[in-house]
Amino acid sequence: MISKTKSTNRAQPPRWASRLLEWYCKPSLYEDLQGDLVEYFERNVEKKGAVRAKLIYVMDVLKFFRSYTVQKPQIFKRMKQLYMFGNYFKTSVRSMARNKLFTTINVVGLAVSMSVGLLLISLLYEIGQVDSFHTNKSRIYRIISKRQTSNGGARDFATASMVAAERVRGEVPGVEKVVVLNGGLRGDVGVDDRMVTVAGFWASEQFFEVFSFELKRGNPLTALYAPNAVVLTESSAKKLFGSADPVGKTISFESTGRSASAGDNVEYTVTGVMQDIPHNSHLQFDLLVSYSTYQKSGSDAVSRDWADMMSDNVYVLLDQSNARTVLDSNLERISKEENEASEDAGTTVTAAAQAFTDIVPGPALINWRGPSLDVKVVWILSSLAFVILLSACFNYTNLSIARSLRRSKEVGIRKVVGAQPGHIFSQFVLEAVLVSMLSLLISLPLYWVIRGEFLQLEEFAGGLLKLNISLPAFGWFLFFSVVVGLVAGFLPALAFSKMRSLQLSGRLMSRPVKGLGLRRTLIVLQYAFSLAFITAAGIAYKQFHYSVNFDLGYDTKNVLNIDLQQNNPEVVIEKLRQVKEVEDIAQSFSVLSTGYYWYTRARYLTDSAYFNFNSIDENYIPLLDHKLLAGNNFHHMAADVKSAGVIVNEKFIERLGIGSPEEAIGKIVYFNGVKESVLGVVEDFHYGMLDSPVEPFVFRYTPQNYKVVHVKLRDGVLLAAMDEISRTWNELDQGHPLKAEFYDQHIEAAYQEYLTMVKVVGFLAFISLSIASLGLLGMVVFTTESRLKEISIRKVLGATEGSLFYLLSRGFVMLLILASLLAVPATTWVFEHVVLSETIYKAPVGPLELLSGVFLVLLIALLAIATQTTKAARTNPVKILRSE
Amino acid sequence: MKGTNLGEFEELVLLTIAALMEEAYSVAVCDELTKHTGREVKLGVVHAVLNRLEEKGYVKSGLGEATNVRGGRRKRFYTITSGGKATLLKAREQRDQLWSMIPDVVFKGI
Repeated sequence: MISKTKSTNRAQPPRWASRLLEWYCKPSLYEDLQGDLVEYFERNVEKKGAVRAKLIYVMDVLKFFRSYTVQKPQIFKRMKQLYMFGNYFKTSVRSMARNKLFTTINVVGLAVSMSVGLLLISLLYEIGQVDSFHTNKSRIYRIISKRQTSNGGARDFATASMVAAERVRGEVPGVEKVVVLNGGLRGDVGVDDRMVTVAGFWASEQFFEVFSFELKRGNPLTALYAPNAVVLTESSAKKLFGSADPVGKTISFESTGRSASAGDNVEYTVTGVMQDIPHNSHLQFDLLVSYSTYQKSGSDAVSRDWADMMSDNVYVLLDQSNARTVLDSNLERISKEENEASEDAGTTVTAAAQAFTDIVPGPALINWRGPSLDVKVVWILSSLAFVILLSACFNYTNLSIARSLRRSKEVGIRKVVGAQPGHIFSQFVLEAVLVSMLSLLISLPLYWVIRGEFLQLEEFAGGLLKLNISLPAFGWFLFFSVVVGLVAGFLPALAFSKMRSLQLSGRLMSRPVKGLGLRRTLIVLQYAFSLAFITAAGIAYKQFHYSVNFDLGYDTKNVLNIDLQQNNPEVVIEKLRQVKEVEDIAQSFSVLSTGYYWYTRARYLTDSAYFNFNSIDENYIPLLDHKLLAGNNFHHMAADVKSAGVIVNEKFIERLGIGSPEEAIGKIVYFNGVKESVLGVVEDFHYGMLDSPVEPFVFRYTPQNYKVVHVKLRDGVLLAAMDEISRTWNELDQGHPLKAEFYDQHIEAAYQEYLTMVKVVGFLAFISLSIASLGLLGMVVFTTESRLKEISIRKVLGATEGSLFYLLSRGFVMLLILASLLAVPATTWVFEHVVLSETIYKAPVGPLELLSGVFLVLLIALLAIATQTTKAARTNPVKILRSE
Repeated sequence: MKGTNLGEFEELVLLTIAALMEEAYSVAVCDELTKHTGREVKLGVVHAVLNRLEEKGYVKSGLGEATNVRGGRRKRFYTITSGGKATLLKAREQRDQLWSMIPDVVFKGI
């Protein structure tokens, strides 16, 4: 011993070099060779100093790497290891079979959480595939805009001004091509007697040069060049023309949505047929019409206004020279110049480039009608799934470490027989991987179930994702389950491999080794996460409820909104009036408070700005019970009236500095050049969603714009009324099914995201609470079992069942309380400052939402604790102590 | 070098093993050779030669007792076999024969 301590004071040869030698050297030569090297090393330390001695040692180790010293790859040794693997497998299976309760807890917990993990893997995998078929995908950018108003409101649009498109094309070096898409194209297309409802884009000439959509027929360079040219997808060509070749044939639109005059009687010539669009493309359409058509159609031609940036999607193809930074700086410069030149000083529009691959998943943007996926949602889902998975791994870790006592004899004997720490480690990691593989098997059907539910949530699906198990995805699943096994098994394996064999084989341990603090921490974390999920679901539901029942400033009760679908409003109204349950009927352009915004330009004196508006008829304001502060409602006027006056809200007159509502009456405001006088002023109301403040708003009277009929129904006869209305509609229009929804449902649909959040987070809360409860149950079972003798002795000495129950439960209850103290404030803070940070109107969060979750969790946990502890407290002490 | 013939260095190592008797292990052989030949003898070379000699059956080896030096590693001691002895004798005989063939005149005057 003395010499050993002495030698540790002296310099030692580098350990890694010795290990290297041990690794490559034949076992028969190793010992004396190593001894020789050490002998030389010790000599060199004396003569040349420790540093040089070490260097020489390393050099010698490297030099001895020779044909006669290196051991051959030993197949026999491998086989021996495989044999041990077989043994590990056998003991693992036996130990799992012996502890059915713990195995079930582990496997079920892992399987449930893995099914969520699998969903996320296929989600991430498919998101990675979105738009990946475009060969130019790394060089395409979309120009997006941020619109900021003087009162601090800022909105991000997926669209950009035509000015931006033109200036980028002309001024920015490195820009190869620019494509403009306008997404407002929808209507009915007729060929002979066939009628098909389609949606698509007006697209500029270079569409097929930028995007990799294959044109099956026609010339990609010229297909979208001439006005009134149309390119169909294969399936819409089939619907319209059957198997005949459509190129050169003509089609006509009943309505293009652009000009109000339904059926402009223009014939469109088919110039090409393209492949059907892959489901994982963020651009989805049935047909494309040349952009030149759009430019020349209608009364108001394409705007050359910087602030008019709400309708065109602009895509830019850069050349190879990686000109992203050039594009960015130029867009910044152009935005600055244009904003300075703008008449409306309060509002600024800033254009920016968005990489093509950042579109899906990307930030949530306004005015994008195609499928989208908010990158925030992806992140939130990923982290939630990760947390749940971790929670299940915690269970495994916890129970394995707690049960280490039961396996200690096995480990002890293995060590005595000669197992190295590495062997023990690999044995227990293997066991964990085995459990996680078993869980993978069970989680696959579970995955299929939640996949179906998940695709039902329209927030995520949008057609972009199918979540099928493809071969690469399955490969990821396998990889994932191995990783889960490694993570779950790491800590227990480490604990086992570090045990001392003496300690293990003797009866030295009456309590499980260490790791009590770790286990407690893990339980607290699990419960904190579960509580956070439950609280989050509660707050989200509260916010949904609050938003839906918010006093908007007008009355939506019993109002049915019917989409006109290009029918003549007068005929529809005429028929609807005959339905006896109908109280009143009004018409408008769009349904307010549902997240759609339409802008119009207005000028008062020298001040000019864009305002939100809606076109309504004379019945609208009384039907929806808007409060007129001054002036009058509209009067009935002919359908071709040009200037019928406007009704504005309080914010409008405040914005233009007109003064009091009474003073505003009769003031002249120009809308897109049309002179209008202010007829009336209504009280401010919430025409937008509750995430934004109330801004200036205008009601106009433009009969040719009406798209929606609002029907007020009598109380209590809603079902009968719906039947009658749908019958009436079917008589009117055989081509389109009735599209009608109550106003309240419309608003609910607009706040669907909260409900989706409630569903998703609620589901996750359920899973994570189940996992945590399983884990807790396991721990309680284990502790009570291992304390049975103590309990029996206490009982013999006179402890009551109640006091024993208190003794056993106290520790766990304290952990749960700690978890609630952590989780509830944290979740509230996250909601207040992250999730709802941009929402102006927030539901007040009361103790009910916060504490009901805590009570629920405590109840479940107490139930788990109580069943076990009472069982332990009631056992007859004689049975336990007899064998001592 | 192959076959029963001894290389020059092999012969030296074999002779040293024979001379050291019971104490012949790689480091000792190295030291002894350095001392007598005056040139620096590398352990790597000696180790390779010892290995080869054992393969040819001229020496045999066994591990000694563990000691406190050398990090507790045992030494591998080499002893010469009868085959080794015969080869040495043969080599010496060959040289003697060659020596005896040299006329005295050749070395005269040195």
